[in-house]
This record gives sequence, structure tokens and C-alpha cells, in this order.
Amino acid sequence: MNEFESLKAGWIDARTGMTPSLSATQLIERAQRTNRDSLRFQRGTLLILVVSFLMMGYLLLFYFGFRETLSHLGVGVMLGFFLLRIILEAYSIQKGRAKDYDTSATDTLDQERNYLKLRLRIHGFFTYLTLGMYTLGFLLLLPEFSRYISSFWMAAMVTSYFVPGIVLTLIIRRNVQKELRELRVVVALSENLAE
Amino acid sequence: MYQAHYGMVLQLCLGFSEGREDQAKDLTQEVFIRVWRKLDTFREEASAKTWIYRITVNTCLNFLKKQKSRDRKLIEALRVRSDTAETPTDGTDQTEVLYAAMAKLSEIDRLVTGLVLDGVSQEEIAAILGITEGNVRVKIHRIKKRLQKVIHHE
Repeated sequence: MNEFESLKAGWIDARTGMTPSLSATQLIERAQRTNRDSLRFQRGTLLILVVSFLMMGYLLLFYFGFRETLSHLGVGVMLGFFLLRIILEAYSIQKGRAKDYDTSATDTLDQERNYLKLRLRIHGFFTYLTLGMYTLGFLLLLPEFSRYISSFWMAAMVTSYFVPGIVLTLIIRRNVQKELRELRVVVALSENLAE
Repeated sequence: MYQAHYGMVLQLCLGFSEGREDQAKDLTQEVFIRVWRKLDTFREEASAKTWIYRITVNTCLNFLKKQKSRDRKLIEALRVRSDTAETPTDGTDQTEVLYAAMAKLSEIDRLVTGLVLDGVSQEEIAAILGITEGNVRVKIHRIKKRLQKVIHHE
């Protein structure tokens, strides 16, 4: 196809005059800023989780001062699964940072597919498991709570737990669906590449 | 490295993004940010050019992942594009005609076309994409046939 050779020549010619709008120094500044922002965001997520964990630990272990074994079990389940979720989030962030973009497209897509599968496991199965176990832990605390507070406040407490819980479940579901769509694109790209 | 390879990266991104300059410039910037981040790991096993091509291809595919997962109509969009797909060009200039023709190819085929037009060898394209040389040959043959068809409105 001689025509293809002329397209080739036109393609190379069209490159003349293409100059960067940013200087190398400006580009490096931008890269450093992006790095800082992404690091701050990831650290921020972990910080929020850790602070929530510590506050919850303080309330459950010291402030309420539970006496019954069932309640102690509930506290253990709630804190244990929350901690597991934090550890998994930190692991996922570390895996995300280790992604390479200078390997071949096939290797990068494989890497991306494994990472998305991990995210889906963490954001899907493990998050629902955490929520489920957290709810179980919460239910285990109710018998002891019911000895000290009225039925009205018990109902208010249970409602205030479940309403945000449902909203949170819907948000998690939306994020899981987004990651699932990303995974499908990556799989389709890999197939397209191998065709 | 930035100055020397800017045009090469921008043009590959332009071909990938159907000649959309803003999108191509954003992608090019993203490529060089990744190049800067990975500079300390660059081993001279491959030439700097091949290394940058790899980062460019991966950046474009990553962009696609985000874009396609947003609009939900993902799988069919990754297949060969419809001949009626709109492209932002009036098709007067030769390069614009080429971008418009490339827009009718799947995104991966657009990247392969860009690499071929850049004069990258089949062996190098195979290494950049991580597929066999035979597969590259088949792709190039298919792309040439399709481009010919599109340019001549067959």
C-alpha cells in the first residue's frame, strides 16, 4: 500500500512545530504537586479510618464500661473487623502505588486486572463482611444497653444505626459497580489486544 | 528527554483521541509525569523511545478504562467503530483525514497505527504491547485494509 507510505510521511511532517506548552520545570512542579495530593488523599483516608477506630475503641472499651460477656464479645467483633478493614485498605493502597506503567501493555493490563480484583474483594466481600459483623457486634451490645436506657431511646439508637447503615451499603454498592465496570473494560482491552 | 519526545507522544495521543487536541495534550502531560516518576527505574535495556512508547500506550489504555467505565457502554465501544461515528474534523487536511479514519478503528488499533506510522518496527511494537510478532503482523494487515476502506469510503 503505497498510500500508507504517504500517510507515514504526512504523519511525520505533521509533528513539526509541536512544542510543549509547559517547560520541563513547570511539568516537574506539576508532577510533584500531583504526587503530594495523591499521597495526602491516601493518608487522609487511612487517618480518618484510624481516628474513627480509636474513637470507637475509646467509647466501647472505656466510656460505656460494658460488664457482660456478650457485650465484650460484641466489642471484640466490632473492633476486630474494623481493624481488619483498615489493614486491607492500607494493603490495597500499597498495591496501588506499586503499579507499573512502563511494562508492556499486556503486563500492565494483567497487573491492573489483578489490582481491580483485589479492590473488588476488599470493597465488595470484605466490606460487606465488616458491615455484617459490625452489625452483629452492635446487636450483641443491645441486651446490656436495654438495662440502662428506655425503650424509646433504644429504638432511637437502633434506628440511628440502621438508617446510615443502609445509606453506606448503597454507596459501597455503587463503588463496587464502578470497579466492576473498570474490570470489565480491562478484560475487554486484554481480549482486544490478543485478537 | 521531554523536549525531544514531546511531539512523538502528542501525535500518538492525537491519533488515539481522534484528533482531539485538549484530550491529547492532557494525556501527553500525564505520560511525561509518569516518565518523571519512573526515571530512576529506567534501565537502558530498551531505548528511551521504546520506554516512552510503553508508558504512552499504558496511559492511553488507563484513560480508556476510566472513560469507558463511566459511560457504561463499554464492551461494544472497544470493538471496531461504526463507520458513522462522528469525529471532530471536517477532513480537509491530510492529517485530519487520517485522524478521522483512525477514529473508525478500535482504540488499540489506533495506537498500533500510530506506532506503525512512526516507523516503529514490528518487533518493537510486539514488545511494547506484549504480544507476538505474528499477532502484530495480523493487526497491521487488518488495519491497513480497514484504513484503505475508510479513506476511499468503500
